[in-house]
Amino acid sequence: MWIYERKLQYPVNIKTPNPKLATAIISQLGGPDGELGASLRYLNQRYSMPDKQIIGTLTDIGTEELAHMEMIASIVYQLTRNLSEKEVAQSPFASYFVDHTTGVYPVSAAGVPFDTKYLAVKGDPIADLNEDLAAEQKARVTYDNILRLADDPDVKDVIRFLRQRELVHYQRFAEALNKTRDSLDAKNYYATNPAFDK
Amino acid sequence: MEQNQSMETLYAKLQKLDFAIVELALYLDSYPDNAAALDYYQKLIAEREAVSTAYAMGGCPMTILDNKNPNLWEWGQRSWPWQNDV
Repeated sequence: MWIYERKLQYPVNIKTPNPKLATAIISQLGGPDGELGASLRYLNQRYSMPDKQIIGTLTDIGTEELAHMEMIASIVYQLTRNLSEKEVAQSPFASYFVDHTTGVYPVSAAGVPFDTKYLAVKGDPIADLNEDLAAEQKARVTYDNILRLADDPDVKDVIRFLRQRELVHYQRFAEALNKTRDSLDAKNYYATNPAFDK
Repeated sequence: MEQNQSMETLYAKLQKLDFAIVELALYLDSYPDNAAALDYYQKLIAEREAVSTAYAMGGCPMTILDNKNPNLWEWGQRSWPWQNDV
């Protein structure tokens, strides 16, 4: 069960529309390492996670990623607000505009629609938690790349906040992986799946 | 003390407090018996309670549990978080 809170996790107040930048940032909504994939990855991995404490971590990080998805969508919305037809036509945003106007639809920066292949649920805690560690690093790199392309301080401030969250999540997943390793029989390290083999 | 503050101020306070609580919750997920973190959690929750009550009295529901107007469902009458007109 979830309940909506009528607020963003961190303020998004963009004063200057910039459709070109929106085309890059939308990748963190619908791209391979975006927030939509992150939330679905963690929330769906919970069911085969044997450790109640780690289910707590997956629940809370998965929920926070939903809040980040809303922040990215808010950035895209505000960057494409009140555009003239001319501004659209002169921007790389024009190809997105053909199919979605200024609606917010999850695609990558290259225009590829969101795909569930971006997330992985292997049903093995070691495999899944390693996946999560990599996912946080890949999201961090994407934010670094967005920071290279962005010059609006209102946008960069929010992207820096989101980038920092990836580091914290990485740390928490590392602790979850260590806890899982500690609970395994060292002799059967990779031979048993604690979610399946009892 | 929270009663005399603007809705914008209370909203910003809630945003900060709730972020601190989320961050602390992630820490406590990994270290559930950390005494300092648990003390800080109690402090933040108490602080949040005061701010949240004052915000709800201002009429803008934070969740569907907070509609205080007996004559109107305020949920769809107020700005949404991404619409902050600048």
